[in-house]
Amino acid sequence: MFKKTTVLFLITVLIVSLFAGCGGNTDTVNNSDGTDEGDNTDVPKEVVIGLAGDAYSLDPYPLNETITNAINNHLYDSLVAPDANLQPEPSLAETWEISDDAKTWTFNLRKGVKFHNGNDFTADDVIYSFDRSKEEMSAFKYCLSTVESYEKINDYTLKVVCKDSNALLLAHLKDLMILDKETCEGQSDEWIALNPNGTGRYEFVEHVRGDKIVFERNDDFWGELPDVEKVTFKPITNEGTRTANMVSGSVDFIADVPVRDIEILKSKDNIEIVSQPSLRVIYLNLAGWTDTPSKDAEMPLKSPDGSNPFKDIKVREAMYRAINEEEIVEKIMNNYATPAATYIPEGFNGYNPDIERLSYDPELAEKLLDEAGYSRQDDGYRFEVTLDASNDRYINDAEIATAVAGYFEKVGIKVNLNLMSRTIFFTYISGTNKEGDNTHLCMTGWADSGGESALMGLDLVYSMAQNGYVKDGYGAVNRGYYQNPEVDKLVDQAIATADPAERDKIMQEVWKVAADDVSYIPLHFQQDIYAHSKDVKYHPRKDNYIHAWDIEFVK
Amino acid sequence: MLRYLLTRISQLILVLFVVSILVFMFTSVMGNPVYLMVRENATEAEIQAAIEYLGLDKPLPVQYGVFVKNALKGDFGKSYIYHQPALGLIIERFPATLELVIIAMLLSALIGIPLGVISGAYPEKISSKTIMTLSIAGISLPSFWVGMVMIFLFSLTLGILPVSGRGDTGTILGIKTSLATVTGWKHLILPSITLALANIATIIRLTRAGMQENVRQDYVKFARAKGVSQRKVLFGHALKNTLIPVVTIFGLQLGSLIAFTTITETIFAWPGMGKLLIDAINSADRPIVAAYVLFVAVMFVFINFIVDILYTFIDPRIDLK
Repeated sequence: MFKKTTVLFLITVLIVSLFAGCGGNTDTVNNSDGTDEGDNTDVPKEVVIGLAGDAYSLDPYPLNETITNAINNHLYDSLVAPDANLQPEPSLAETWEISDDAKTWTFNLRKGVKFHNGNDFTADDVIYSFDRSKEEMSAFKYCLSTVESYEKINDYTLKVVCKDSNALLLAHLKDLMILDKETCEGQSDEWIALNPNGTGRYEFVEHVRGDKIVFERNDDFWGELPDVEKVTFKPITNEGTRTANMVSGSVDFIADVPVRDIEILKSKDNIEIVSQPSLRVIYLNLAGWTDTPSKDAEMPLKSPDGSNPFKDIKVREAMYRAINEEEIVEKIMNNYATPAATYIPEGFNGYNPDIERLSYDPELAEKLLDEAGYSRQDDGYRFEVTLDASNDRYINDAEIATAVAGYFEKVGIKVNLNLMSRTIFFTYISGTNKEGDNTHLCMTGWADSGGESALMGLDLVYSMAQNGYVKDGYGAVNRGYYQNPEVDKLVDQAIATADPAERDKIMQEVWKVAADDVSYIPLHFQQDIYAHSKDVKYHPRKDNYIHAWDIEFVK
Repeated sequence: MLRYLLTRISQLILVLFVVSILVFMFTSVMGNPVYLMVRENATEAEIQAAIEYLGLDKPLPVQYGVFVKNALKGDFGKSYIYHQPALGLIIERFPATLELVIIAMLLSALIGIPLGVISGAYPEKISSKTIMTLSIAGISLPSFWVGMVMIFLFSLTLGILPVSGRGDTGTILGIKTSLATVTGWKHLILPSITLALANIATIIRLTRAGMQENVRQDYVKFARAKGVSQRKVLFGHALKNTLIPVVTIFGLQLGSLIAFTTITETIFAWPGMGKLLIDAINSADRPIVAAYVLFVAVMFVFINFIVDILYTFIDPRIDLK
């Protein structure tokens, strides 16, 4: 019997190897340009890009996530497209006019644009896409939330009417990718995701989930043709593997380079590192505008007299001064971070260069705490707080939070460190969490890819009360319940101001007031780090979106 | 045999019922997908809409009822982030995992059993002692470390094998697989060895123990006395009686490799089920996690069934009742 099985096994092996042989042959015929092995490197103008994740869906509507959006940008265009500094530029809309009251927008659509399947692009496609963005499954409902109505004037003209004066409509419209009505209408969401048809620079070739997405250049694209003719995105979640792929040359470009691998990559002759400060600022939120912070938390704020120490600006300033940010940047971030004084990046509309970081001064911090009436108790502590932070959301977040807790302990503030996975963290700290307020001191990051300082102001410093919005939808990430009517008035004013220069001035003032109030404690801006082969040149974007047309060949 | 099958199927239903309740309870506490799906600055209305869209506003028992009702129709829900049917996503990834596991299991059998037989038959030889020492290393080295070292050695230093990914696929019997192409095989080598190492070691040790016991038995001495060749005694007589526990372990390993190739797949960016699971856990994508665990439960029951049938082939004295 044993003999029989042996024979059987041998036959199976033979059959399998025969198949393997055939497959191998067809493979070399069909996929002769696969550069996976690096054995065909002279095939021109193709790049393989290693990303930290996959595009979850090639339907651009159900999920709003950096990698998915960036990949979908290759297939689809929007009415306006953000440039490298996130300012809206004409795309499917060639020109537009805004009425004097900043309420009515008229878009003149580009003529002669074709979808990948040859269909003509018209205003009907825009209307269809706008409608779809409001459906239940859409993650882009916010884009049209300020819009009262929109209508087609003719095939190439579209009128959009806003509820209030809204000079920032373009910052939201740029997120809406335009689908082909004829292709999608009547199809299920699942079908749309598997059969992408856009007007974008690249056409869909293949998506093997978790392995690769392949696009080829759309030579009928209406605008300037990108240099890269074929692009393959590979999701490589493990950081070490991503680095190894870059070192071995199996990919030409990687994003999200881990800080610890930079030296290894730099030491290779053919690899170049590109980095730039990202939009994302890491900061501490303090619940300083309420008497009863975190009333439902397991470990609430404890001070000797039961008061909320954060209400005193001296305490907020003291905590700011207690943190040695330079040391955090140097020791934890390997110098790949920039200390932040304000919450918006340099070069942005509304950036105020006059705002400076408060100096690191633990002695002054202790003095301020004494003055505020929180002197050291018998146990050596002034009061007790819980610092909530994520441990898998921002670069080295757990280490940063631990360091911050250490600095606070040094000036006599007892800190309970509460680190969580992001799947729990954001529910835990959410102000709209039905289970109640849990946090009074937490570390979060914020980046608004809208490219508008006023939008950041709207989210970050517009008044928010503990029991809900002061103004619906305003102050959504104001997790410290910062309240200042003056700031609210200025932000409202900025949103209604069509002139960018005027808006810039108003927002500069907002950030100055917010900084003087110590509304938050800013820590640093993260850096986006990329590595690529020296055969190409890369022009990074502020929003960390990887676009094949930002890559050009140098040879 | 028929009665045996029926018992098995009723067992399967019971297992699935218990597992589904457990899965449902655990996935509902493992994190909230809503705040990962909406924008960070989402308004209350947006969050509420997302909660309702996902059906998370209903009480847990109601959610479970809906889940069971749909599951009976073969619908395990749509992934929150992929927006595709969860079971479909798992089945789409299954071949990639399976080919990795099949190669790993073949390696374990082809390397593990002969080495186990030799080291069991000649325990005093230097070669046997070396095998045993290496097997301890094989069991105790963590696979993420082994994977990284292999990448470093074979891909970066020697440059003979690809770092990660699945390579090109061809078609065998209508299934897309890396086994059909040369680059596919190249991509398979490192991850399958990484996956196989611990198994090879286990199989060696198990076979060796069984052999040591069996070579002392009377029937082996008798066969030798009869003049049966040493090779035949070892591989024909003694090994056959050693195989029952080995097959049992084999079945269990096969199941757990398919279910939990997670680490190896992550390191080698292998687009299999394990990587899908890890991504799903990170994003609290409950339908995928639930469908995955149920899928794995069915698979384990099925594999054990096959193992039981194999027993009767190896040892005719064993009867299925």
